[in-house]
Amino acid sequence: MKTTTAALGLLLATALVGCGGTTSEDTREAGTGSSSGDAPKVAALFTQFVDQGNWDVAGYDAFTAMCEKYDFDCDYVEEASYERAPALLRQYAQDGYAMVITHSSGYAAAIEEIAPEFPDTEFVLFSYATDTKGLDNYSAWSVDWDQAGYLQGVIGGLASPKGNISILGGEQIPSTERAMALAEKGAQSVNPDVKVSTVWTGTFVDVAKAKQVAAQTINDGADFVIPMADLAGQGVHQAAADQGALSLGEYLDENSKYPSAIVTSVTVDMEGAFDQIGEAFTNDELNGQIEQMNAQSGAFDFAPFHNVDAAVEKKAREVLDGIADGSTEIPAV
Amino acid sequence: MHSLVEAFFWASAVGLAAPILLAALGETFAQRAGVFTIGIEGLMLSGAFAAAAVSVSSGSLVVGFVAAAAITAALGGMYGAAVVLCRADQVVVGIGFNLVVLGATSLLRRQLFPTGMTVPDTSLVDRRAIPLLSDIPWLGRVLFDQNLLVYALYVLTPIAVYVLFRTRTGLLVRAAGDGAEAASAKGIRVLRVRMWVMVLNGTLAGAAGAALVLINSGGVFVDNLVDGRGYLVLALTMFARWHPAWVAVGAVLFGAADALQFVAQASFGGDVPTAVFLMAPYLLALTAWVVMGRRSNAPTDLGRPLLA
Amino acid sequence: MTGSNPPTVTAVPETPETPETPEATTTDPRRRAVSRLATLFDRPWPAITAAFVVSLGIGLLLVVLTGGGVAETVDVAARATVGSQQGLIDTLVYTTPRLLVAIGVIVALRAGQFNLGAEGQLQLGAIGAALGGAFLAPSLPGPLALPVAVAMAMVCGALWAGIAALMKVLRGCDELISTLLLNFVAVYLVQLLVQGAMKDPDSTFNQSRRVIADAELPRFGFTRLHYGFTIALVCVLLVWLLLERTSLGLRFRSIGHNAVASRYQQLDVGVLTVLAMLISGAICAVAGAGETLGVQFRLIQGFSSGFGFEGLAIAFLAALRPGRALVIALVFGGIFSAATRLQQEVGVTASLAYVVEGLPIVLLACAAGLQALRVKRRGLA
Repeated sequence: MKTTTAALGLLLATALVGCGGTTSEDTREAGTGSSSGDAPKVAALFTQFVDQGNWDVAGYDAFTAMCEKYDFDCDYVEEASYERAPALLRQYAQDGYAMVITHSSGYAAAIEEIAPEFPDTEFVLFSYATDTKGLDNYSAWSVDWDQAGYLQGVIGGLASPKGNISILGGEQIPSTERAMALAEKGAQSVNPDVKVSTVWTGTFVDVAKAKQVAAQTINDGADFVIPMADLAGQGVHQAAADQGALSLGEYLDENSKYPSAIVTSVTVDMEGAFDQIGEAFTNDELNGQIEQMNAQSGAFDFAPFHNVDAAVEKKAREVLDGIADGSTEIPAV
Repeated sequence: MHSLVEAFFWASAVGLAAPILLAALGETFAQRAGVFTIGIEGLMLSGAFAAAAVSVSSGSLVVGFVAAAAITAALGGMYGAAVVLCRADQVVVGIGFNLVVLGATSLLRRQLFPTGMTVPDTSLVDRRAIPLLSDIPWLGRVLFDQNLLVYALYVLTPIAVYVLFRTRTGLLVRAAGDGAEAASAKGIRVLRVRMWVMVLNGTLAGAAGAALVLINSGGVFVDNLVDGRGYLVLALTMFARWHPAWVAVGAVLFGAADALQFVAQASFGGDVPTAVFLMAPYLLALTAWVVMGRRSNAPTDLGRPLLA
Repeated sequence: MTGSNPPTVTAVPETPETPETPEATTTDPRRRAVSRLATLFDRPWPAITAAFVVSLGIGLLLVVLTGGGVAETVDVAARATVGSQQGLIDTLVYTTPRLLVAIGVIVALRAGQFNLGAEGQLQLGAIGAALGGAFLAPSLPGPLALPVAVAMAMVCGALWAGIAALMKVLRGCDELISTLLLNFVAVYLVQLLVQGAMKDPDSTFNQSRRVIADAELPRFGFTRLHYGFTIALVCVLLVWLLLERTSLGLRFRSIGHNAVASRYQQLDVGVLTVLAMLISGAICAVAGAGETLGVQFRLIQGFSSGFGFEGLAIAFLAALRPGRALVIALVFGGIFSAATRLQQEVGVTASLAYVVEGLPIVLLACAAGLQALRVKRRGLA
């Protein structure tokens, strides 16, 4: 015990001396760009990987494009789990970052805690939000998951040869729950007799589990599978390719991965959204707003169609245009 | 339609059981010889990473599979050197090994494969129906319309039973774990037996990891891909009472618990929370264990280094 | 005192001890009986330091191989630990949960119970703290809110650990495996609760209501270090007192040393096993309570810390001694803080920390094993 105590005392003493004598934090703050003409420091938090999957890959590409266009000094953290988020946000804010963009609705709680303490840092949530708690420095770009899901369902209803589709959700989170419920409506809107089954795999990363569950739904009769499972969706596409079913990509054009299975994707214009964020930040126009990303704002489009008749694309585009100009109503769930 | 007697349900269960069974066969030998391998989680993860990495780089699944088995055989040997030759505490080494592998695979993935790690073509390991046999009603679809690993296990499992209980090699393995000091006094080279068993354990665990990524996950490697399956292997080995045949039965039950997710959701709709299905294999393992209770045939030297 | 090599003295003849056991140097017979593990890792400080130097060297090598500069890396690592006030605070913040988990598992390990379920007990602690802080506390007088929330967490964690203990005592199920499996069940239990019974209906994500202000752990000044650190220090002291200065601690160490011998000494091994696991689970749960009441302020989906295994690693390296655990936990906190900074500024994946933390355990376990072998052979010769 004696050695322990001595060592501990020594360590703490060194630490305190080091801490008392240091000015490194001050120099770092002086070096940040918030006051001088240097590039403003901007950071992003991603829940998963910026090189695998769909949601974060597309988001990272758009984030990088924004950083280049607006000449930001950018950093990011991947696999930033929600319990690490408050620490990371605080760290970035203390380091003088001018804006932190978080790429999941799960970060809302962390922003609500940290944002009030750091009024000089802009916090942006990208995904799904309905309320920014009246904070001036907490803005959100919210994807209209109802519309996105509805459009996915429409394509499924149109493209399924036998009118039997299956939707595979990943983690059961509110945005995906809504998308799934609306997808069912969308499919029914174009094919009233369509059979829709829904399954949750409970994970966004377990490809093996998604593949196995998808194989079971296809065996059960589904000939069109819609993954809402991000990275795990790769397993769904593969099961479809193996068993001769069709599938739908997520957020970006994925056809090249499984050309025989993937019909198209409902793409989300993340590049455009991040461009808006960059512009709003540069013009000092971030003030707690929630920007909707929906058909009306032109956020949704389709990737090139494969494996189906041209009529499917034509009809799907009619629905998209209809939502955009208000002539098609999305049902309430 | 969504019933538990449906052929496809059990076919899925068998397919899901395969990697777990393969790893558990190796672990059964290891534990019979007295080595408790908490690090099997890490061995499986290394195998999965190596298989994906080499398959992507070489473009050949066969090369990837062989490389994974070879690399984890070497890792098994190193693990053995620590717990067998150096007499290091088996649990401690396992915890450390798993931490290192988790960190190292994730680090290497980012550095070596900055644009993602997906094997482009895994058609070689697709399901293949065996002619004639697959035409048997029900059973044919469950057992003979599977991937190559499942067929390999139809051969490996009986061999494991035979070797363990009917050969001199098996006798040596069991002696190394049950009365090791006495065996050592009689001139049995306990350390050598344990080392070879650890190489075997590494090989099979690595092959299981390779199967997990190449067959079950369709060639997509993600960090922490094994995600607890190694711990299920440990549990399975122990409540199957260190007998390969019971291990096989238990593995299929785990597979069924996993496959239940779809059947149950299709039958009950959204009434049952998803989390319940995700818990299912772990709850099954815990329940099975409570039911099986205390085991009298446990290798007496399980987990103990030979201090002689 | 750990460097000397006094002759081996053991209270229980079946199990020889290494000559480096500090307990063997004392004349107090109570302190001689310690679990095998405690002696296993009882290496002199130079050995522990050497193991860390080797592993930090490998860590640095990995950073350099992946494109980081040596000077830059060292600079970042220094700033993230003792080189700046912020770094020091970050280190203490990362230290807190790891230290609590380490202290928790030390109680179980000293009693011979391999509690690998710290992660699950931590999760249950987070659940309990959220239940107490968000649901129970609003109807309590203000000063009671925080103690009740922490107490709820401890009860939940203790009960979770109690499951494994009962499985062992009643059905002979190895706690090594049952605690591991319970970890996964606990993670999905959190998911179940935040999606259902505990979900905040106003939220766009699966999370519970926020805990009330009275139930929050206060923070030190304007830093992000909360009073969980103080609680952790108190736990270090209490566990040290429990193990070294009470008869209950002696009995724990006695069953940890040799359960069969303890039975002859008329210690109720079953009761002590359960008790040790309950205490262990309760302390691990405080780590979860710290996250809920000091960092997140709510229970949130995807909450899986991974502190569990790091805490075990700390306990092993500390030779199951609370005081040493504090030092090792500070080192681990520093490693994690440095790795997080390196990821942000140099672009190296933070999982580097696991490599640097895992390697010393393996190295020291090997050294300890060889030491035990030498002792045994010398004893036989």
